[in-house]
Amino acid sequence: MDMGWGDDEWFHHRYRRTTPRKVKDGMRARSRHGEIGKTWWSHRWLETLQSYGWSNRLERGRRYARMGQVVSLKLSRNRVESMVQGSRPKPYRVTIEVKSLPKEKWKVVAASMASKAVFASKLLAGEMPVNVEEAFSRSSATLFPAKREIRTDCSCPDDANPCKHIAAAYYILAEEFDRDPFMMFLLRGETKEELMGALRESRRVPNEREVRAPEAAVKGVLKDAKVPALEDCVAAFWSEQKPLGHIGVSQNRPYVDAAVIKRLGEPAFWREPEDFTELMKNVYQDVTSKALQLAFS
Amino acid sequence: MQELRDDRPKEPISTDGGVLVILHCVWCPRSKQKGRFFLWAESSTRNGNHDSSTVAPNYFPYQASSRDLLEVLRSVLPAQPEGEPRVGKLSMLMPTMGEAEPLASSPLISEINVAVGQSGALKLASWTVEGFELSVEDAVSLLTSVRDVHSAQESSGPGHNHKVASLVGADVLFWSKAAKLLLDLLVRQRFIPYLENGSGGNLRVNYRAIWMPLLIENDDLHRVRLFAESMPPACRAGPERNPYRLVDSFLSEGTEAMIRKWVPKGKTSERLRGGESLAAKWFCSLVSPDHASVEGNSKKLGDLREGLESWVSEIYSAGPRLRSCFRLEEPNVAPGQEEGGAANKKKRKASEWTLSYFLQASDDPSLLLPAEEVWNGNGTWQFDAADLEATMMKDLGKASRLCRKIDESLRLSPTPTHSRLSVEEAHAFLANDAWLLKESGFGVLVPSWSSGGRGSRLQIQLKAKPQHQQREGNGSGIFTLQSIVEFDWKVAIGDGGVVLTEEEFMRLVSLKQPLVSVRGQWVELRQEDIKSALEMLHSYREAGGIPAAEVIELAAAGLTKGAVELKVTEADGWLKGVMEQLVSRETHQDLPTPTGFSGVLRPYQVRGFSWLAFMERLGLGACLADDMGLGKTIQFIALMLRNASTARDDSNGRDKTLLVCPTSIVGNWKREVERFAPSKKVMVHHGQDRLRGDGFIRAADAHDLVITSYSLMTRDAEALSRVDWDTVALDEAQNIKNHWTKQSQAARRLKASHRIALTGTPIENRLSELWSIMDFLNPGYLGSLQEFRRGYTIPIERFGDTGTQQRLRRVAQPFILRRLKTDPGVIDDLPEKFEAKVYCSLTDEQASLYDAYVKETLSKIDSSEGIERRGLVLAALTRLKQICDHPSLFLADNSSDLQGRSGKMERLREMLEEVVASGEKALVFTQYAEMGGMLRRHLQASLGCEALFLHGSVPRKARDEMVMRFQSVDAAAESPPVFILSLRAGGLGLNLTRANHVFHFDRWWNPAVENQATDRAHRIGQTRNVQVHKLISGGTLEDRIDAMIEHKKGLAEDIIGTGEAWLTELSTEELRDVFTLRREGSGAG
Repeated sequence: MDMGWGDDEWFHHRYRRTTPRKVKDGMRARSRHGEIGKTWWSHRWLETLQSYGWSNRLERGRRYARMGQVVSLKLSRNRVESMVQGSRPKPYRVTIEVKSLPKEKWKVVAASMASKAVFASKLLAGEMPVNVEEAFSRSSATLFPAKREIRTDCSCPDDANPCKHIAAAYYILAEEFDRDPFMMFLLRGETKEELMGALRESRRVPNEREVRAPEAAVKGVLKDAKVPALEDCVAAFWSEQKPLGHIGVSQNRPYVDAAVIKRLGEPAFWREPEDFTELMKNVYQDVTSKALQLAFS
Repeated sequence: MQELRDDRPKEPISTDGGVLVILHCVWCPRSKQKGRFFLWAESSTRNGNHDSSTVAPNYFPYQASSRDLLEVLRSVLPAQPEGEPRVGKLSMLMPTMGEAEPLASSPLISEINVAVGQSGALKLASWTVEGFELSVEDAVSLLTSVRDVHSAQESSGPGHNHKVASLVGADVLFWSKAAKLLLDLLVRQRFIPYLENGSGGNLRVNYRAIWMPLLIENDDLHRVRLFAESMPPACRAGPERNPYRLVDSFLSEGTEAMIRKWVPKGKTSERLRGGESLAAKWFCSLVSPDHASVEGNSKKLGDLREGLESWVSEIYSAGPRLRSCFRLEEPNVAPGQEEGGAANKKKRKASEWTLSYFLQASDDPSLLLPAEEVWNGNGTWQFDAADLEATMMKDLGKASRLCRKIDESLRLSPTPTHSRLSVEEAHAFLANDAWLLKESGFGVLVPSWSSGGRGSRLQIQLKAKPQHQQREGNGSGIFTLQSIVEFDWKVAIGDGGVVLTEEEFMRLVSLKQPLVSVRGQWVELRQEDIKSALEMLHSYREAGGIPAAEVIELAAAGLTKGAVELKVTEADGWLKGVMEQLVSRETHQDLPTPTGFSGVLRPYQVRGFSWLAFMERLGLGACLADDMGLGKTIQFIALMLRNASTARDDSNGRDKTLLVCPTSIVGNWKREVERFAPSKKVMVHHGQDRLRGDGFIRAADAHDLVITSYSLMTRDAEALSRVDWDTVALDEAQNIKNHWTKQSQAARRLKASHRIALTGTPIENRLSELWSIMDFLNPGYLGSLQEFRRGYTIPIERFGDTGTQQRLRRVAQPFILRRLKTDPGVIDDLPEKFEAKVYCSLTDEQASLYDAYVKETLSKIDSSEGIERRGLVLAALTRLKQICDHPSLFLADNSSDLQGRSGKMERLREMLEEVVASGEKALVFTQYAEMGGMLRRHLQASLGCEALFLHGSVPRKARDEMVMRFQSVDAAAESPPVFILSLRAGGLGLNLTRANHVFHFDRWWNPAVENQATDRAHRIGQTRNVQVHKLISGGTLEDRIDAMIEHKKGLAEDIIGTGEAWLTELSTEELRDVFTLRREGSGAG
């Protein structure tokens, strides 16, 4: 027992309000109120947490998550390690461990997934297929861990488990799952590459294409071109070298605003409560309106 | 004080001294800073008006002063930069002869003394120019409004007063096109947000939030490449030499600058509550007008950057080579043909729509690989099977987010190849999903009749049914532009010729089915289209019908709104004939030559004046725009005679006509009317002693025709507008091309039952002129000036929209009749060589110089004799001819102020304007080399095109090159349309057959010499008719001598003789008779 506790707290071993220290640049939950987590699968994940009861602590955990008290969160195979800042100077260490699925079962899962295009295509596109559990049922397993398959721990003085710090980590995790459903598979013991590799074996699938950075793409096209020396162009110095013809400006608004952003989806690093796509849509709409106005006024 | 001098229009549009300025610009990107556009100009006055007291040796000598530059900016670019532009200097490479002779960019600025073979001797040297610096966003705003036409600018708004004529250089045109390209990319939202690594000189790394242009579609990439390849070398002469870097930096900085200018910070980033995180800061920096940097922990910044890179890379990694494509196919069997029952389940299935999946090669969209083959596992098209499957799989996943049917198909099969859709689903796909998929970069193929999901084309065919019978012989046409005409309508759908009556169509609409099969054809009806069509028809019904002006427009050109087109395709009764004649301008009957016409009308002239009469009967204003020389004057005179002889409502049967024309030909008109319609009473309203107020009105009543000039019409507008004219005609109607001038306003105030415009310019190509003249003839037909600008001027002039241009032509055609010399119906009726005398008036300055000289020299001649006398007479001939040419020639004062001082020169310019506008070429002969030089300066500046000048001292080689350039048929060579020659040079064996107009600016009265000059153009090899115009100053010795020669032609040639020597034999009294200026003929009151 740490002598740092106030007398009160030692005597009243009861839940007490404490004010956590402020964290600079913490991981903040995006959602400002209401539910945390936007997708059905992160909600499923949170169901496990909510089944413990302890509504006060969960409430506190949500608040911590929104305040950015989670300093760091590291996901590895079957394990989550997180530092959460409480009222004490040093942040508390939270660990969450999830029971792994054995290798043979993963093989079966992969085979099931391979049987329907929807699994691979959705996952690749950043979505959890709705019927993902189907793929697991054949091996008598589930993707989402049951309560008994999860073990959590926290270095804070509160005995309750989950405490508010663990709860905060759960919530932040939920948002991570929003972004990347493969994280859930990782928690169950299989990395994305391994899963994809297994799928590839049962049914040949995604070969990640080489990623081209934007600048190279844009400027690359122009870089390779041959340029005649200026000295050789003295004769027609003041004229167009090739006829350009008329350049028109499109008079129609794009049918879909900010289509490019919609196609890319929300960036992984976006944690603000506002919808990124919506914000961008306003910007893109404004640009089109003003450009049309300038061109045709 | 004297009348004629003040007659010049108060708002001069062309130059006062032959100064021509060409505008240039250079894009200067700068590392670590925002780039600048540098604007400068060349001027034809070398070294003139230079602001700095000392001119440094490497300053470009043709540079315009900043005052001239500002003037030009204001006239050329209607949108002005805010505040005062910054002055700056730029060092540029320019073609230079030898050590220190830089070349101007165009012969209009200065002689380019480089013969063809010598261009190897040209090098590039560095010269400094001064000009204005503009930020890229200011430059883009200005450049967008530059017209896409390489011609001299015209003033377009009220109060413009130019002393300097101007052109834009090819470099400005290039960057203006680049600005349009940029705007197009912005309208189409081809940009993405990003984070850029600024290179910090020190240890800190700066990051900036930026907007990047998104160039991934092949069309865009191709255009950008074309731009870089096409760039005029002059654009590369500044600090940056690489055209690709120039285009790239312009697009990048332009995108950044315009977006930051347009997206106000308050609106979007206010919504970011908190905003502490790096991502939020990044977003705020994206929408901030000036603060682009993103500050924070450098590791986190690095993470953000990586995150962005991988987020964005997905667009590029899609790799433009392969993409998925979805094709919507109609059912094999149309609905209604199915039968119920299980036995026909197969047939029912056949009536479903199919969405098939393919892979498509991006650079050849016709290459389609069906999904079955992709799943089969064979590679094809140089891709291996894994790549093909990978692409399809990933694409399907993305597409499934956008289209529910695709998502369904993914759940049903490991290797989906298609999806089945009901009619409603097919429509939903066409209306929404197709667009979403397309904008997201997938290929989408839809049936052709659906026009890409925009709905089938609907053409509403109107049949005009006029109620009233046409009344014959009534001067006031029953058919005014405001008459309302009833109508019926039908609808033609799609391209397959399905035509529905009104009832059938309404029944179809009431089904509320967006996708229907009509007589075996699928048709897509979009609610908005139907709604807008029905609204249009409803508003016409409410008004009792369609106004006649719109009937004409709808018959000539139709009206298209989205997928719906309205067109008048039929008419009943008498309107049918009228419509046909209006649209074709072929009248059904040619009128007989009117009584009182002394002369013979050629067949096409009969058709012309019959058309004028037809339009007049209908109460519509008409524009006769025949080519120069086809006799517009005569056709109008014939019309006037006919009107007089037809019974009228007027009590005294007199037909009051007002004719307005340029001052220089008032006298000419009078002569023509006297010649062809001698019975008409003509009054010339001109000069100091002209009638005013009530006196004028009484006199106008007593005459058939009143002729006046544009300037007097303006000055005496009050009196003129009190008269109820039967007809008002404007000759050289381009004089009201500018709607804002007092002249144009005065013309519109005149009261007239009928209006006619005569012009020789190809009016359909000159938009503001077309609108202004039509507004005079038939107000409201082409809409308000603003509507016209939006609907026609901007698309045509700024963006070269040929579809709109053609539409305008069709809309205006019923009111314009233009024949060319080369038309089949005309060419046979014209003589091969056609000669005309053009009588011009003297200006006041000329008249007083002339009078004074005549007085002085006659007294000298009187008191001399023998050889001395002969010498004096010959000298007098020369001096008087010089006065008629131009005062400056007579005074030998080397003046640069040439405009408005010579009647002949002004008339020559007016006529050459028409020649050049029609794309033809002309030779101008004069016996005075100095006159040739003056003509050249004045014409180049006022016409904005090059005029070659050949005189005795031009060396042989240069002469040959001039001839070659003039005769060149190569469109790109910018062959000069005007060639000025001294009469002597005309005697050399030159071949100038490309000209089909020959102007004799002054006379030698030696037919052999003159004909030889004329024959330069009229040789074997000349395929077109040649028109010879002899300019004569009315009332002067030129007039008199010409008359004497004419009348005595054939007789007593030994007395008159050729040349001028015989004049020395005349007595003083006879000489006085020849010399004295007759003011009446000159048009002066």
